[in-house]
Amino acid sequence: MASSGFVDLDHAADWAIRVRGVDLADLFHQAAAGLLSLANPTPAPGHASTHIRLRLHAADRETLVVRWLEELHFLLETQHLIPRSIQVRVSPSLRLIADLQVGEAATTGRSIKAVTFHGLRVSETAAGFEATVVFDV
Amino acid sequence: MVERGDLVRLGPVTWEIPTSFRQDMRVPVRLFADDRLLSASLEDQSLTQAVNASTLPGLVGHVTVMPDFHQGYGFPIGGVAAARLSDGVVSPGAIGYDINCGVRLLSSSIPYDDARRHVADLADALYARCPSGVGTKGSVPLTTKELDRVCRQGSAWALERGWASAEDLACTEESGRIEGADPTCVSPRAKERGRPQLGTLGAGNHFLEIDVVEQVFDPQAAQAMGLLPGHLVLQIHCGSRGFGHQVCSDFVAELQPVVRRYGIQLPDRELVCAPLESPEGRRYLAAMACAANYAFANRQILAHHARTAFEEVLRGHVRRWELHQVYDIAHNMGKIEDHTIAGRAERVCVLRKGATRAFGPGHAALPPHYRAIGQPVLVPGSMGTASWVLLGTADSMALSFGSCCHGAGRTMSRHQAKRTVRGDRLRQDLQAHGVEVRAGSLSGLAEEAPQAYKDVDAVVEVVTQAGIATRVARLRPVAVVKG
Repeated sequence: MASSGFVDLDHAADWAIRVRGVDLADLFHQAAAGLLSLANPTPAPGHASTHIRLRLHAADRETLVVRWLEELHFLLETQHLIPRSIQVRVSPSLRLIADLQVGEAATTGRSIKAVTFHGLRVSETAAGFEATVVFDV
Repeated sequence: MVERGDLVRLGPVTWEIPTSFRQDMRVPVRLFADDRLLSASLEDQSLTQAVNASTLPGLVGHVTVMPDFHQGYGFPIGGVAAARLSDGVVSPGAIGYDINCGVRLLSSSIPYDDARRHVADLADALYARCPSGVGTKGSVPLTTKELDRVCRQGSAWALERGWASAEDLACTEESGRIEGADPTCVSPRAKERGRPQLGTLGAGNHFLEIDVVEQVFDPQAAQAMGLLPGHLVLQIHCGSRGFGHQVCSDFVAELQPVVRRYGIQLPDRELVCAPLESPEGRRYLAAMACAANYAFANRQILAHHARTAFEEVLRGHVRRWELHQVYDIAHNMGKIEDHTIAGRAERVCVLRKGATRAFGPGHAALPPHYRAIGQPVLVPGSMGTASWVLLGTADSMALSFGSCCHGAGRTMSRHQAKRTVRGDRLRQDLQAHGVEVRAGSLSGLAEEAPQAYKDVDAVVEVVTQAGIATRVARLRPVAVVKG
């Protein structure tokens, strides 16, 4: 696996991904890509998009990962919005600001119930950051 | 990882992981499995998750693991634990995101031979009337005020609208309403997710299934339940939809700092918890009750739609098309119950995740017509395979806190299932074997292939050998509707 990206992991009942990023912002960007790849929603025809800014804060990196993915999942399931581009900044004090260009979803894809804390640890590696995220599906 | 040598065999299908296995265990883990089911489980993290669950404060007896168990997140699927009210905890992750995911069984006087040529139309009508799929908009959009009433009333909310009968409520666990629901403990986001989804099946492993009563093992109990050999029945498997998922997510996040405040050490953050008697624990139980009641109402509305579909298709073709409720049980829930532990009566919170209540004969919580025989236990198999109707036993109270298995249990990951099985071929195979399939997603269908699950007959053999249930009837599927 490259120093930036995600891979699907086998899990008996649910879905899991291992995510790597060259820095924290990249880790959050790749985690979002992993979520969208698992859900696999279909964009509605047309190119209209809207800008959304998300501001999140958490006491630790793991909680911030869960909050971030929950926000994207909520946008998808409830607002039927798919991020077309994502720019993420994460401060050392774990304040995340994300600028999203979102478009409407024709279908919201596969069912995801929740993002879990199960076995979740954001660890620093020689190449950046790594985390494994389990989704309840 | 737990290895076979770490387990002590207590009986033909009963195993124990003693507290000496790991120093943070507070109670032993007791597992029901035959050799084959046990071997399969040693390949994943499920027993480690059961050991992790045994570290929760205030547990009594043992953590019980049912033969359909498999790896989940935090607490294993198929796990049961009981926590003392005085010093125990409640853990949202030990109940699961799909709060009160459960099964409802409806019986009929419709002979399969008379209805056989209408089964495809029935499958179409069920698929059309019962919205399924991801985040689907339901048949009953709600205002927030009305959603709050669903939270408080559960199935009784559907009864007020003519979508239920008094008999339906009597034949539902807790009469379709958990006490203590407080919608002020539920977040606006959970309400936003829940408002449009009432009366929907959802996706994943949720389904509607028409079955034939293939074999009766206990004629007296089958008669009490209205299960006639060779006649149709209907199963409904779903839960509290995005509403319950969000309630659990909210509290798993909210309780993260709370465990530190109460000085609770946990091996997995997904097991985050709060003392049952704490303000945080009470708030979670009040919100969980809202989600549980939402799920009862959801299955009730789906049952109403199913009845309409049966009437629409079968009127004029068969003499009786009505569907009568056999029972509705939860398999992801935390319940305050009275149990005898080491000879002493204790009030405990029983956490069941992928496990059902299975009270024995004489229990006051059962409706009068089941009190003599015990509680119906509904065990749906994997898609295309048999399902079972069992009865709870008096022994289950001592052996498993009045609990039993909830299904076949996965043995193959979703990715592996999709690599092994093609959805279109699976649908063809099932149709060739006399099972009509209606599914919104072929890849979702492949994920739920029978090959991805344990043998439900083996699971049922174990629970009957263990003495926590007895057989009533075996059901054979003839139509499956999935999201």
